[in-house]
Amino acid sequence: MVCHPRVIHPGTTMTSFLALIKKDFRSYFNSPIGLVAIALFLFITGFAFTAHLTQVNPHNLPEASLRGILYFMAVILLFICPFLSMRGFAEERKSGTIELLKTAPLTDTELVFGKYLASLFFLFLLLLATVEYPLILLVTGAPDKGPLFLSYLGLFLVGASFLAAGLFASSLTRSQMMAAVVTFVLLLTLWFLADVGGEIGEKISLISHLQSFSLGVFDLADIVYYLFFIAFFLFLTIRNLESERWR
Amino acid sequence: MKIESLRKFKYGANAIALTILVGAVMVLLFGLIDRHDLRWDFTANKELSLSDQTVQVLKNLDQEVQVTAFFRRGESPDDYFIRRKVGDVLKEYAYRSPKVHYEMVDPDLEVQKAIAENITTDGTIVFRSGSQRKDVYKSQLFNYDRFSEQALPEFTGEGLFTNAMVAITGESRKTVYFLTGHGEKNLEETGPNGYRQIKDYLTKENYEVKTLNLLTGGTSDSASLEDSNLLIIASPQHPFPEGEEELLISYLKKGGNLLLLLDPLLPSSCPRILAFLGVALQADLVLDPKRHFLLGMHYPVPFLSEHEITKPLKDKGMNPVLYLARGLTLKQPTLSTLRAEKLFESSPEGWGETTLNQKADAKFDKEKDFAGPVILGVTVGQLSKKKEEAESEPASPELQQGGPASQPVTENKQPRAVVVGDSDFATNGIIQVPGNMDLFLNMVSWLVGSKEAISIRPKTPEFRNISLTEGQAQFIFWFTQFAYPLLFLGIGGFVWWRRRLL
Repeated sequence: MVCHPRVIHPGTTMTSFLALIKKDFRSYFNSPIGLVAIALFLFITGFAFTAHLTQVNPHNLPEASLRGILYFMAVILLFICPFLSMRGFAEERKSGTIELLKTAPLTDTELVFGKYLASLFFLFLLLLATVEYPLILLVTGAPDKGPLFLSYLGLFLVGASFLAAGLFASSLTRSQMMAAVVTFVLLLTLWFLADVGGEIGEKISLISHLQSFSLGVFDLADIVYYLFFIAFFLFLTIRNLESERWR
Repeated sequence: MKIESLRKFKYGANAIALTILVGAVMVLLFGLIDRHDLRWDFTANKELSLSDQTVQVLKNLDQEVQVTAFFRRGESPDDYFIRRKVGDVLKEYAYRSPKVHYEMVDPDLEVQKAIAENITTDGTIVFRSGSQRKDVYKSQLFNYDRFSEQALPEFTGEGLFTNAMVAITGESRKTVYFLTGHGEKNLEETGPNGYRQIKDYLTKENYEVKTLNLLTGGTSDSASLEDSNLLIIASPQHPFPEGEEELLISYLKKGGNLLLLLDPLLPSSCPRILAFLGVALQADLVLDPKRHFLLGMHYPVPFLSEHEITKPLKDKGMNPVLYLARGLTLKQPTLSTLRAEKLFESSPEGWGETTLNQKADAKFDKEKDFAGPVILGVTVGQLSKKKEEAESEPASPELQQGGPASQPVTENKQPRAVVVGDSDFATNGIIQVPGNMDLFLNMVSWLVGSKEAISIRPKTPEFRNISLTEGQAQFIFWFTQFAYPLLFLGIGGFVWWRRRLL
């Protein structure tokens, strides 16, 4: 078998790219799974939010901030994101549509970015649905808006990192469940590195970089960490797709 | 077949090499950015912004500093808030310097660590660098405005933390000597009259504590008076032998520092030193019917004057308690460049009782007793330049007569002294009374001239608490937990139902 570079006609690329994003984004709503995921996320985080404001936890005080529940929200994302990203390539493989995608006028990079952006839009929507929390805080108290905004930025970056790792896992297998399990184990390992890996573990850990955001501190190193994490897993996904041509 | 395998190997090797290269570049770039403090505080009051002084200290830090904060996970709002605030600030220190490592420890859960660090008070923050150690306590972290209940307390922790780091990473430790040989308080005694706790606290404050016997040359270590930053004479019971006072005056003339704690009932052991410092002793026992501790008039709670030593106590509303104290009178110190000033005194209703055996039902006798307010503590220090010019008094007769007192003061080094008409306030028995330990340590700190090297303005930390009405709490409970998620679930169900029909 000889490896040929794909010939892509200019002009059709952007249309196909947008069509891919649209298709993948819609797939979250074609079945009830997307909305169920949002409802589940809201139900669980809503429980934490109520507890946070009504002092159910004696170690917390009712405070006009999301600081007390930010980690909890990130933990819930850790469970939800593998299910959002597992479809990515695994489903295409299983249903055989991956061949169609590969013959579409898109590079592997565009293919990966298209799928990733679609999942990112869904993540954005998921977090947007939690806008009730800051609104309640604004009505009942006087939250510090800087930390509030940065908390959401941190949460989005954590979720985006989960999705990037999930997309990579999805590109490795044709089984969606296997992709979700691999993603979850990988993320969990990276999460707990902060506790067991000493100082280096803390630098690599996904969760240790969330703290500054919750405090209201914008640390460039934390932003760069998440962006590099995303970029690296997308790069691995692209390399993995490319490898299928010569394997 | 062979060519095919070779081709696969080539592509595989290329892909792996490229992946490693990309990963390595990312790690390097991240490391580079992580080393620089590119952090911006987005809180409204810039609560987490460390002062320029602290940032500078952290930048110049060349030794590892381990900070261990021992805080119980108390359930009171204050406990929760203070522990969190300390953790946040220490985290910021650790972010700013790779040399700083911090740990929050619950002494109830990690008993061994608390025992190893000899922690006796909840809310102790131990700063350690090599063998150097300095402790900061929870009670020191906030300034409370006693005159306004509305005013939020100010967080003074940053100043304390930074100064602790400066102290333990500094080149030399300050040495404090306790004079022995005249029946002074015993540093090793753990009973109520001993000074063991004072010794332990001074050690925790990073002072080197030693004893010194001038006559026998006996010290707890090989050292001499010349090496000391401060000499403490705590309640001498016997007069000083000939020559010893001259030795001490000579030490003061060279810029030495002295803390003299004296008690009633005994005649002065060191009259020449007192005369040199411009302090005279009253032969009395100070009783204060207006300001005294619960146990009786002989536990006076003095009024504090404005001074560097007393300011932190006044800010925190602390009232040190004395026990069986004697009155002092101010005179002109031997050196015209010095000035003796009162540090604290009894209330105007207090008096110096001279009939010492009748203290149980003592009453003020204006014929015999000293009228209040009676001075109980005195500082002796350098006159300010302006005062010096204004008060060009002639030197005292003693200075003109010659002897050690007439020796010129070593250039630029003026002696400092504190004289207190009581030594019991620092004993194990009542040192734990709020204010007593602070008073003692502040005196030592002022005398050795280690007034906080870095002054950092305290900040008012904010805790934006929410207090919900019953109705609001009910609404939040039903809306966030049920109504709102059910809305999305309903839409999801509708979509699913519609798609089934199609």
